[in-house]
Amino acid sequence: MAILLRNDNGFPKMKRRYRHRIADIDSLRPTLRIDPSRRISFRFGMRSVKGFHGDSVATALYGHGVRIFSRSIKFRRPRGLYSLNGESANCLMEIDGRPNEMAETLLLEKGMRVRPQNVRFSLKRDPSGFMDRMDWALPAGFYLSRFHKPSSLRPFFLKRIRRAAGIGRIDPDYRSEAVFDRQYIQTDVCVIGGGPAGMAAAMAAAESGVRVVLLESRPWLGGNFDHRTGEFETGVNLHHRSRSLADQVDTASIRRFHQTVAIDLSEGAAVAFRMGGGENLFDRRLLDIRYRSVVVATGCTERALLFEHNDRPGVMQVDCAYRLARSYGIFPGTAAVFSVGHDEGLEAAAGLHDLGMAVRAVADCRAEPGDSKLVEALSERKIPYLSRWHASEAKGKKRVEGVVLRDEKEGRQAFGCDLLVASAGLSPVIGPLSVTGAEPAYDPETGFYLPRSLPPGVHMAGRITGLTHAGAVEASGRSAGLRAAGDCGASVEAALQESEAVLQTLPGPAGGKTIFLNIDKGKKTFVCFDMDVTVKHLRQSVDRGFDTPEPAKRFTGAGTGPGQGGIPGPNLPWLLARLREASPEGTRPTTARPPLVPAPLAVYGAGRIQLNRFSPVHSLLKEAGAAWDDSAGWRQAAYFDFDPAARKEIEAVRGRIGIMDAAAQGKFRVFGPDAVQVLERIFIGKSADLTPGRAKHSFICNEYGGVLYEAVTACRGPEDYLVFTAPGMGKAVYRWMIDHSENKDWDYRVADLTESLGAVRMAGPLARELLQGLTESNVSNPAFPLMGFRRLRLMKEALTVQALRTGAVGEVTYDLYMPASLMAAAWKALTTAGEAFGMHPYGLKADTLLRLEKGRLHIHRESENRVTLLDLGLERHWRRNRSGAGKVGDAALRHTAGQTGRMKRVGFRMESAADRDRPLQDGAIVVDDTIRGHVCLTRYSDTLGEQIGTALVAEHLAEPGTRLNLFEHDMEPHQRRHALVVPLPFYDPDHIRMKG
Amino acid sequence: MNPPAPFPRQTPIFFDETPAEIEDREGFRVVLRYEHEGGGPFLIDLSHRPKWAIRDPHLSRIRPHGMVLPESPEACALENGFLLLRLTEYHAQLWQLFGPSPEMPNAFPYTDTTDGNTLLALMGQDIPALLEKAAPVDLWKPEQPLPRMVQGPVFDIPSILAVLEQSPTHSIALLACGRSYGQSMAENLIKTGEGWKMRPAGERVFTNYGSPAFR
Repeated sequence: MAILLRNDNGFPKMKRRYRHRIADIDSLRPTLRIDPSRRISFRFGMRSVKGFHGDSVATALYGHGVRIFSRSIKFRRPRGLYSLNGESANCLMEIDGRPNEMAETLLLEKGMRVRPQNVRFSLKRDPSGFMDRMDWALPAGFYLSRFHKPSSLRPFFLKRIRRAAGIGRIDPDYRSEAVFDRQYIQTDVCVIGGGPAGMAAAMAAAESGVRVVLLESRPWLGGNFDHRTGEFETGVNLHHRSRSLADQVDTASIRRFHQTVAIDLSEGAAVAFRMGGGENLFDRRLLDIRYRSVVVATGCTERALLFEHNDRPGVMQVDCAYRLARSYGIFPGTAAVFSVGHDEGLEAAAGLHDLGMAVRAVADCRAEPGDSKLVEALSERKIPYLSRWHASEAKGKKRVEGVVLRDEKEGRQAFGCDLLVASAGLSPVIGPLSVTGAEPAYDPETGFYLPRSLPPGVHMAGRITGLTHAGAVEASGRSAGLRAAGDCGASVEAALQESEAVLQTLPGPAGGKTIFLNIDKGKKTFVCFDMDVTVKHLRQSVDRGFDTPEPAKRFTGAGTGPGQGGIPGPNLPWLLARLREASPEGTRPTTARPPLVPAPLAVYGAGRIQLNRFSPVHSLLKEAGAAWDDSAGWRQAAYFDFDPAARKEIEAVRGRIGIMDAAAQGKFRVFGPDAVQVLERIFIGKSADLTPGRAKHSFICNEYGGVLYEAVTACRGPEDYLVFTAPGMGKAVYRWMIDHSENKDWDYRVADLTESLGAVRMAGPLARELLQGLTESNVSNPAFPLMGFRRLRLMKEALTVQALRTGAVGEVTYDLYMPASLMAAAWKALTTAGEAFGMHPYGLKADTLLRLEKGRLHIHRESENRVTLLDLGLERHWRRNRSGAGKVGDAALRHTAGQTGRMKRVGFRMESAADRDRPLQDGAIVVDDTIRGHVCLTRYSDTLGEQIGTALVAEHLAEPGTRLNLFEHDMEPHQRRHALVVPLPFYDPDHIRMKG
Repeated sequence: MNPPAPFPRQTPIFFDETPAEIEDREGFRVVLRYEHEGGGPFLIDLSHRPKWAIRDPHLSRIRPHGMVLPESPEACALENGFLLLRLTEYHAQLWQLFGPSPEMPNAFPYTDTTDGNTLLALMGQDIPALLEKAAPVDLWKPEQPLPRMVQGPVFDIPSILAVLEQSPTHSIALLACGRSYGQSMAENLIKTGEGWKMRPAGERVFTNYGSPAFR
């Protein structure tokens, strides 16, 4: 037994001799969750430390004698192990380089590198601890009122506050090697909580034949029964019962997920976060669960007892102290005082005494004495039981060295101890219910904040309902499980009746208890550990008018820390009601929002894989040295020969022949008796006059006459058309086509051939010569003119293609379409045949410039909401619909056709030859005394020997010869560059090369 | 669409494995077996198998190869080596899984989509668990008869999934998506299946397996 000494202040002082692990650890076997035969070494700061397999990081450190785990955010007070459920930031630590890992719940692994956070020099001696004496300078909401004036000093203060604030530090060079992934789970019933009620619910649902998923936050099932020695029924302890239930769950067809917490619940879907590591193939996993019914059996946490210095290392909750001993084989302290408000506290006091720990006294803050059997058990062990007493102050500077107990009538008593087990009672974990939309309200029967009603398909069971009797907890789980199965269509009526009958025979929810507390001073009575919020702060908040939980939470910060309101949540509404001398019935707790527990941001992005779309000739382009560009999901060749200016490619197209992968084009077959009606509706040009073997270039406009897409329509035969769109626009055009014809009674079909057809574009003055050499068909200009569409057999009839002659880049151009499976072979054959003609592959960069030289519209860069097809100078593509109806965009074009003052698309060239060395920026603005437009696209053209571009400008600037003043974003205000408006196209204005 | 040609045809999938047995079939170089296929689970490229889209406002009247179309969308039927999948009221697909390639009827409702789709088979004990990491779809409903299908995203890509067999020891699922996604899809499935030692396998693993009802 420890020897008590006297302190200067008269309080007994503990001799610092710890027996950290219980010597006769085998006696704990039924509840022990560590394997004493498997030691695990890890590093804590500079020290090498050992724990056991099954330990969490925090229990391993505690077992090693560590009592201070961190320093608090504001006052830099030492903080220790308070709960084992991750309810506060006390045990957030940096583990393997990752800040803010919850050491209380994270399983220990070999070689872990653990470091404390918010500490300068050492946990025990931190020079910033002086902040604890500066509480007068940091009242509630100080950041809203202090350090604002003088305003010139505001940045100085902000910098320092920001440097001091926050928990943990992120190393920007740190790269996590952890595996984060995602799992999609489909089930009928989802049970949250693997305690006795959750297990009973899962088994009942599974027996009904539905699929069941069971989520449990700890590494094992059992919940509150797991470590308790109380009696379930004659001869059966609670922990025996929990093992028995867990064994039954093992044999039932239930999918169990340990170390998994629900972070969000909504109608039919839950998001859960699962810890991995060890033998798992992942470190963290996000579970995306789709269910039809959910049972919430999350049980209760303990309400923090409020007294001066209630955050001292050595103060901990009942569950924490008892589990340390029974699950981890660690003495939570040498000599303890209990100040509790529920029977489990009395049970733990007796239990810890039996394990060999000195229990100096048990103070029970309830108005009525606790369970008589438990009180008797304390008496048998000669433990003083002080009914209606409570802790009013913890003594000791860096850890608990004593406690002052108080009774309203009998005064004060001081005890020496190194452990103060404190709890004001239980509080249900209703976060998962709240996020489903269930609204909590004060329930005077239980003293809990419970949902008034539950949404359909949502059930609750177990201690969360206020039940404390072990049999009733289990029976309520069974009933909830059956109801959930019933939601999924299972036949459960008889079983449910039977289960409800059993439940009726058992004790109902325990009545709410009046508790006595002293919160008079409250200067260092902490309501929220994470944000260092005290009762004094809440009093200040009430005085400023923020007297209900939601505004008080925002003003003081209580409950906004990483613990997500775990510690302050249950006390906040009750305490605020008391501070304004009101009843808790009129006060609502703060709104629970996801994530219900903190999860690393990386988890949310886990498993999100972006798949690329590859052309059939991707590998051949790679061999040819392509640089890539991702466009609308497609990985497309941007340029070759390491030259982003694509000079060789352009030279080939203009002088000889270029070949381009056009597989990303959208391709559709539109066929059927009314196919032409569809084309007439969506294209602004006329499609009805298309004859077999002919094609037409046209545009799709929106209802406002703006240009959305461009396409070429080719007629294959009667009532049979192929539509080719620009790369990456296929899906949008398809959707547009369907949306604008679905309410018509037209007989037509659309087949998406985007993926089925490969496409190769050959362009250049020698393209016809090459093609003629490959086919016996006549492809001369008269036989195969511009916008002709032919079926050709190439290479001694080895390959059949559908060929479309266009003028996309201003040269003789053939688009060859063939089955996608043949495209690679076709590409190889064409490039081999093209070698004699100096053929060169070209990519998107060259294509953009070639099209610009030809004045082709660049959709999305040049088309916008303010301009119509007519403003873009494309009136030749508009076939006025005489009926005035049916063609999308026609009405708007008619309306705007005669309007003046609209923006116009113009071509320009830079005025000065010196501009060659300084490219103009896309997006530069056109100005005179105000902004008059902007540059859409500009490039230097080697073919033309000058910088050219297109712009959208005010109508009065659109005349050829007009001088444009251009301003780039990085210019000085007075600086300008100048360009001249010129007619489009820049290259081959008479289209001789294209038509020739 | 194209008559058999001396030009070799390519499926969208290339596995970086050494083929042990190859067969030339309708222009495709079909790998029947790879050298080190392992013991499963397997990923098998079936993209070369004939696939047709059938679109018609009166779809139920059509009897592709004598098969009766399932009444409701998201249902499928397996008969004589054909898997007939009804995607919507007006749209169905026919995949020929076993046997010699049939001739596609030369009629308006039919479009050959063999080249347009990637078709992969996933076989082995852990396929349900593996697909749980890739697809948020309810594919493994024990109460629903086999074969069954769903349409939904796999790695966020619109796909069709069909289950041919489901048992605690062995499952077979088929996955179809756009051709251009094929290579990326296969690589990511192999990566996802690393923990279960999933490997590419030749077509024979698929054709040798299965109950006679498949054929």
